[in-house]
Amino acid sequence: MAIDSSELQELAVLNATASVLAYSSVSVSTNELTFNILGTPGAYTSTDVVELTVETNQSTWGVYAQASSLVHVDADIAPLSAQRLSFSIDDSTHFTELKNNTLILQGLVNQAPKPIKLNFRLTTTWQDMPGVYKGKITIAFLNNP
Amino acid sequence: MNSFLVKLKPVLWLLLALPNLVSAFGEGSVDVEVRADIHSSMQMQWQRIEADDFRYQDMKNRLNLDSGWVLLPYGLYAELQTNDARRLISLRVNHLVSTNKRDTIGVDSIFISHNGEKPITATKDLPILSVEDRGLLKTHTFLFVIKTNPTQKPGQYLANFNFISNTLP
Repeated sequence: MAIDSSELQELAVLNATASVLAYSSVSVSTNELTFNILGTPGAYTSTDVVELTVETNQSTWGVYAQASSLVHVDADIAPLSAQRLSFSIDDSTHFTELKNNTLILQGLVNQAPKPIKLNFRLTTTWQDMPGVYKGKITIAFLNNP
Repeated sequence: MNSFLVKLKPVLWLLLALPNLVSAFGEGSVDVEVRADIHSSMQMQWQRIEADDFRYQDMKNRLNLDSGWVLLPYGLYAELQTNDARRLISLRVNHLVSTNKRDTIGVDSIFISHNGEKPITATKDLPILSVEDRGLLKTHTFLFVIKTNPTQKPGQYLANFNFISNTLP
């Protein structure tokens, strides 16, 4: 039997509030990059490929990278500056220098998470002493950059 | 009222800024450790230069040889570069041996003009890449001078030069 809506009476009003918390996650496939410089100085691409995935419900966002200098394990040897490192996205042949907070990836609202591949390159010169150098690249997520 | 707003402002600013800071420097950032292993490397190219080569001519013009000295009609040109301060390179000259292998001209009669400088004895290895040369591209032109004496026999002689590499401990 159908109910005539004009016969319905409002008994109570229930207010519902949905609170969706901001969520963002940056994950990388590896947390270690190795450059093995065996030949004459030049541009060497790391054999490790970093796969970067961003999952977020934020509207516009950006992923930035910043590198530290690579410091020789022995004291008193000049470090390799961060600008010696560069990166390319998804096997591109174009490498971008890693300056302070370099934008790697920019996202928009409702964008499905899709991993990207990051190749890193280190440029060496004849002035660089042999030995092991260590440093780090920090990859950071920023909402509404 | 005004003083309340003044106090509230920094708190509001901090509350608004906080989500971004957390995203950037909290769980929203990851560190990738970087390790670069640079190995000792050396590059060397050399070639024999003939008397008509401009480098030979240039260095020859700087020499002022007295009689009794004979300049060999060829020289050596070398380029060296290394990233390793422990790598030392020297030029070693051996006796000249006649093509019939019967006669020799002793190394004590051979002198080397290094980049047009006054000839020096070839009895000692000549350092051409030293500790302070690390990272630099060093170019060298060598001409060879024989101090003649009556005991030397005329004829064709073969020269043997070696580039000697040493690594400091």
